[in-house]
Amino acid sequence: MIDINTALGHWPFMRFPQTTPAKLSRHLKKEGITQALVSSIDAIFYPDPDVYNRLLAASLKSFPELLPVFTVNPVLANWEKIVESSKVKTVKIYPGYHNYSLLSAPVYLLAEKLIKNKMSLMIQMRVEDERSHHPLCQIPPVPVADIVRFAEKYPSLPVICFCPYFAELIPLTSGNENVYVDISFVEIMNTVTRVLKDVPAGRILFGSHTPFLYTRAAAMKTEYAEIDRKTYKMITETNAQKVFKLK
Amino acid sequence: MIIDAHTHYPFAEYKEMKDITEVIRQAKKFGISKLFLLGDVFRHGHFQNEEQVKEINDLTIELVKKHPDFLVGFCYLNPANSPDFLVKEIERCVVENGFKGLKFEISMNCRSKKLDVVMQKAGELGCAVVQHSFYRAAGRYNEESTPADIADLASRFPDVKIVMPHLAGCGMRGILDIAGHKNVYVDSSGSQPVAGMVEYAVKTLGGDRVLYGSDAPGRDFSAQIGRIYGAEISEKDKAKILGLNAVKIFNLK
Repeated sequence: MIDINTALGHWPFMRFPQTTPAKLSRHLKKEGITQALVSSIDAIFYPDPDVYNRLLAASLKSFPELLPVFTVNPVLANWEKIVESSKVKTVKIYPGYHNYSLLSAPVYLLAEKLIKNKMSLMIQMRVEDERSHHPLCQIPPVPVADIVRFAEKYPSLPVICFCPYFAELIPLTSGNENVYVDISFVEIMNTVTRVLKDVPAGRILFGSHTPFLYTRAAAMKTEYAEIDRKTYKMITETNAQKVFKLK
Repeated sequence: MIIDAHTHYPFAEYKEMKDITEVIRQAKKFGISKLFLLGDVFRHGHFQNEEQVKEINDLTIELVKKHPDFLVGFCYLNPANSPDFLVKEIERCVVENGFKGLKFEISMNCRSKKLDVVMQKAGELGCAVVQHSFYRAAGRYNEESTPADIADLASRFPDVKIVMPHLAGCGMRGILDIAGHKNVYVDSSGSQPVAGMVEYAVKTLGGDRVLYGSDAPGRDFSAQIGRIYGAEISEKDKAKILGLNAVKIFNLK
């Protein structure tokens, strides 16, 4: 399985057991995950995300199965340098945490650059359930309508939405064929089977949101899904290989 | 043995699952042998009258009669209804129909003295109470109880067993609120399977005071059981959480 939604670092409201790449790698392998895209949690709050991008990339050097995903804040002057230095064909943005609209000039410039470089864009819609945020640190989710309009504007840019809720899937995916979703926050009875009624299999990606959520929970969503082998492989492996140009 | 201590059916917001046999089929896939049916608690909004409460419980009675080996009934109540009605409804559900506990949602904060009559009756019959609870960053319902409210209820009725649902929604603050009240248990139902919470609950309360629940069909058994399987706790504690504690707390045979 390829897990497109994992991270390393510190979060002020949680304590994680997977504190090093070695621990994360061991943990993911135990859950049957053989390759993972990893972003830096510290890059979300640190004023210059690239400091933590570099630290992440250096720490993952001896772990070829863990691929560093760089965090970009398109409002900062170093966004282009980060895009150019990314070895993985994607970057991640946090419009809610970095306090800008997806429908703004800096993000449009980023989108054009990514298209030129044949890369995709990861949008972190939320990190935690909004109901359980710290009362003085309530971060708004990225509005679904903004993502839809943004994806419409850039149909050749693959847009991967992280941590959408079940109710957000249909509006996200129905109009734009370049929008993909991860399953980490999606939950309804018989989740994956149900989602497939409305979302094409080619647009669903396995993501666990480790270490924020129990990895086993995401793994069980796919293991117990009532789907054929081919669809299972698409969701857990081949879709990610295609979207992120992985080997 | 796996017992899901927190499900609803029918479920107001989830109209697709028209037949409970599909929920049961899904549950069996995961080795679940019993579902606690807490009623269609939002069928008539948040503040139900007596007729509406009866209708909710009639539905549960009907479903439990159809699947007596798999479903365990709970009596839904709005404590704002008349004391006479509340006592009669408890007797109808618990004494006449074998329900195993009472369920309160968000129709009345559990600090209210209006709960006294139902808590006294629960104590008399030896049945446990499931009181909804949550700590929300914003948008708390007017009468919604928090874990601190449950702690207050527990101190007023120390001999009645109380289950506080929604481990992740109550958070560590909620666990700390109830830790000193040995008659309060927590169920793991609902919200995202937030990592570390099961371990924290076991460490703070002990493995005997944590129950597995899903909040299905609005939630999925896979992710909800996954949080128990994925927790770094002993196999002994997992077995307790997944079913043994429910047998003990609710006097199941």
